[in-house]
Amino acid sequence: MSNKFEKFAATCGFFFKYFISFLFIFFTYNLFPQENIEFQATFNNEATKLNKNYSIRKYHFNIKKLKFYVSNISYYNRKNDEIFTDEKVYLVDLNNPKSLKIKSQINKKSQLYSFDLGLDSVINVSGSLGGALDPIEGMYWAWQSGYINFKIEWESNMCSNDNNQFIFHLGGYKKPYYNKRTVLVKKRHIHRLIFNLNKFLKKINCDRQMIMSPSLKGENISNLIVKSFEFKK
Amino acid sequence: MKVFLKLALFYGIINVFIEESLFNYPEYFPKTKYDFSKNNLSKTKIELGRMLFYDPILSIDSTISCESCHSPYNAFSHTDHRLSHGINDKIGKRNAPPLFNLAWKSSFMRDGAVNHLDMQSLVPITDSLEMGNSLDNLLYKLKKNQKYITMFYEAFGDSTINLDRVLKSISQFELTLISKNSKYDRFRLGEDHFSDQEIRGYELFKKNCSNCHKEPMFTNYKFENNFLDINQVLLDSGRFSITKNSDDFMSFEVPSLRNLSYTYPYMHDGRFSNLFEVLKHYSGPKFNSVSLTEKETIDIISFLLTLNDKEFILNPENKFPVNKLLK
Repeated sequence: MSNKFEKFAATCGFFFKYFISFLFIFFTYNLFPQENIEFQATFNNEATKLNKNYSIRKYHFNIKKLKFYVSNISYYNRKNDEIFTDEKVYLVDLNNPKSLKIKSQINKKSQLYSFDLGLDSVINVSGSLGGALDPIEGMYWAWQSGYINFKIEWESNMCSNDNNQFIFHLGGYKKPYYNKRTVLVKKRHIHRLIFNLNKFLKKINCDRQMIMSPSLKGENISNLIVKSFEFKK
Repeated sequence: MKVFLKLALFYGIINVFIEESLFNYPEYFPKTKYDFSKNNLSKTKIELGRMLFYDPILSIDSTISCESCHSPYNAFSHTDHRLSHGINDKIGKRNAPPLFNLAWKSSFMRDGAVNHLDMQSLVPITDSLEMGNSLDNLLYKLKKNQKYITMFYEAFGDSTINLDRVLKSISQFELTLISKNSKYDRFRLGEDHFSDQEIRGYELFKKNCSNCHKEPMFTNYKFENNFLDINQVLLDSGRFSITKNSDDFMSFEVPSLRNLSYTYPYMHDGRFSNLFEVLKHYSGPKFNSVSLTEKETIDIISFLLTLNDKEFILNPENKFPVNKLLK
């Protein structure tokens, strides 16, 4: 008798545990709903892969690295009042497929949202922070304190010299080179944020193939990056 | 709720008490710049930081430690070496600065390139002319080392070894390097008195030098151009290389004048080997307002020597952790 009762109690306990977990997830989701924001890089309208050759007319391009920080995802209502900000920092890395999808806490009343490409000055002067901000991620300038906001490296035969390497490490958190850029997404239900490499590379010339410190050229490239983003459902 | 609040308050008070016992300084020192709330001092973390500071494991070939260029006997500088040394007998680009009173600083390196103490050690660890290591390799080496697994456990409550913990532990040790027991400090506290020569030197110092070397830290923490010609081999333009602002050309961090006896040679490239050479430079034609006689020069030097802190350089708590590192 007691054996049967014990089995019954154990079964009830088992289902009760799952029921509690279900309730917890259900309420958490409704209290703090989340949505995926997906980053993509495209070349000729297809998802870009690292170390693969792509062509635009007579030139070839081979992307070696593409990493950038996304921070300060902010949601606004119809009147453009900010109603919620996700204060997490995300490191998006084409070499890490998991990092391309950001699970951001959303506000259902919002109509549009924005995100920052890069990091603000407070983060840049806060010392060691760990996580996505760990210098081990290769996004920190040790020799001149500050985070690299956007890193893109590729090879191409587009310049008539022996150097086929392009290395752009873009950052800077104080004047005159405040490198963080805000990107506005005008509709909240748009979740695919696409960095169009055709658009970006079309505007790149050969006058400077390396940018590895805050600079005016770096600022111009960052403006071009913002313009190269497209938004799709 | 009340119990929780009481516990939180109790924890806060205990933390303040512990911190004060590990980090204290005279009342006439200014307020510190380092944010201790983000890196609470603890004995075990300081000890871990000390171990990391003295251990050549930080360099790629395990030959160079922080101490190689920052020896405790030299007030954590490298006496008699113009430029810092690195792996494979490489020579760096600058004179290794002394390390003390770092909690009062908000920028590091001679050109202020580093904006936070926690991030400073990344420079020598990764510089090819210094330790030449990669951060991945550093963590790999530490994670294989049983001594460190134990020490990280003792310091953080688990044995996870990551860069954040490494950097903050090194900071903890460096923060405890406080120079506050010189003759000048005793004089300030009314526990000692200056000789007539030292008083004359003090007055001359206040008139001619204290604008940049402000008491009691003996620096204004700014970057100044002291009219040194650019070194034609090193081509080091100082702060200009960071800001790209022409006003900053040949500007370097104003160093503290504490512990000068232990920290020669002087200037960013170690070009002056003694204090007479330094004062001769400041008495030269480029400095119209300063013209010192030989007697005045000696008087000023006699005052500067009151800033030596022997207790600091001999403090056993700052020294090589023989029991742990050589065990």
